[in-house]
Amino acid sequence: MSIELRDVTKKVRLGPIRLTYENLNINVPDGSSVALLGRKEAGLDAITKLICAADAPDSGRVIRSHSISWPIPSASFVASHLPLIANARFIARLYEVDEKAYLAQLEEYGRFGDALHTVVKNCPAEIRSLFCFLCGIILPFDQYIFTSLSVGPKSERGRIGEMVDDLRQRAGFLLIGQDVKSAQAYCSQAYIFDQGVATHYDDMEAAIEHFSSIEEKDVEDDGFMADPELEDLVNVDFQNALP
Amino acid sequence: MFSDLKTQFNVIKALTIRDMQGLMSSYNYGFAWALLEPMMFIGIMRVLRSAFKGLTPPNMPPSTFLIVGIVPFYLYIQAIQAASGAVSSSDKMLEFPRVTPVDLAISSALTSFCIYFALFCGFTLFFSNYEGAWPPKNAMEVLFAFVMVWALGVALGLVVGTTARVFPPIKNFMSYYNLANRMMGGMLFVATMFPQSFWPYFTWNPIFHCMEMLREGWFVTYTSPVADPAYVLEWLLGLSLLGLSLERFQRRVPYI
Repeated sequence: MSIELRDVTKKVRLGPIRLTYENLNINVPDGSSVALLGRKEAGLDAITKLICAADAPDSGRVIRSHSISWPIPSASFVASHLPLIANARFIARLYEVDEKAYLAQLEEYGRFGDALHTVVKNCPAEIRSLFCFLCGIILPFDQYIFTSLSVGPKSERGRIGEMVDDLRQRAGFLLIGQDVKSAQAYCSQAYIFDQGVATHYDDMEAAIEHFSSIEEKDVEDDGFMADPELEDLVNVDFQNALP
Repeated sequence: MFSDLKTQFNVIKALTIRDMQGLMSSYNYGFAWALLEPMMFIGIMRVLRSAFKGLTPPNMPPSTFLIVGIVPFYLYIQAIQAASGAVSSSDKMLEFPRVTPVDLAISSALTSFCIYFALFCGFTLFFSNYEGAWPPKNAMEVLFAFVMVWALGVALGLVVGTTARVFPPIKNFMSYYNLANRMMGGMLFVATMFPQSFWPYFTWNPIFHCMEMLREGWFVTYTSPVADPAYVLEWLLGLSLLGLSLERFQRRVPYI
């Protein structure tokens, strides 16, 4: 087993998203291609943090038996005042790989040219997303975690698809988010997250049918009013409360 | 075990280099502020001491005396803030499975160490040459005390940062603690400036011992009657164990 969430309970408090996952059990087998699908209000960011060890569960265990990537193509490591190449060097140092070889591979896959020496804030968004994507996939992980596969210029999408296919041959693939098309193309099993419950499917058609049936709610951040625990405190009937 | 330690060392190194590069991005508020704040304080204290000559120990040149106390003390405060800030709130870098809050705390505090060590070397080299207090009597003792000040700051920062996750008001208490330490921590005086009967009010504080070691290590004319490196190491060990244990036990507590 590459990643296992065993009897995990987690209160999710992400802005307006307030729900509790109780006794969550998820198995991501070694070398498998799994999708964790859910709408925005499913709080998948919290599940991603649990998997990446950025946060701990309230109870239960998260077991990782192999090396896992960070959520690709997250740009959290990117310092916008530095050139792309300096950010790439940071990743090379962090993962103890040879800087020269890493940068050469990055250039080979991304064909960045001079853009690699451009300060991040001056780079087009599509170059930045391609850079973040490649920084992760060229490192040798046992399990790759993706939150999106819509990266890079549209003209490069075919090549990116080939890279993902190649990656799935050599390592595990975990897609987290609401990208149904990519899940259908690359995954063989899925968990659908809805109202604090994760339902497992071996059949992707059934999983997508379930996911499509979930209505997307309009999640607006209205602060503490969204918290049912606090609503009773706020909605006090003063007329009747007064003697 | 050694490979794990090596990995952690490399993670901290990568994060520290990244932090250092980040300082240059906001030059006015980053590196320059670190330079200006102690410089202004040293300048003000130097003027005050010129006006009230009795406050300066007669056997130590005043500017070097102030620099040897003030710069390490600022490092101590910065190390506390850096370490506590790193463990008290969630950081984007934690998305990397190999980065832990302790790595972030140490790397953030190491950045402060690099800045203040450079400041210390620059200031002392210039002023002690000017005042004839160069070279230091025992450079190793000065370096040891400087590192101890930093390490005590990191250890206390871990304790404060983890406690702040369940008791946020502790951050307010820290400003009072820092104020008290500025007055009683030996930043602006040495033990021999007070009668012996007053010493127990200062010697409980490990920072006071570090300040005494710094002055003793720098000035040929001063031998501290109270400096005790073993006492500082005991505090460091105790605070580090407490800080790391609290960090371990607080992992299931959600970030506020």
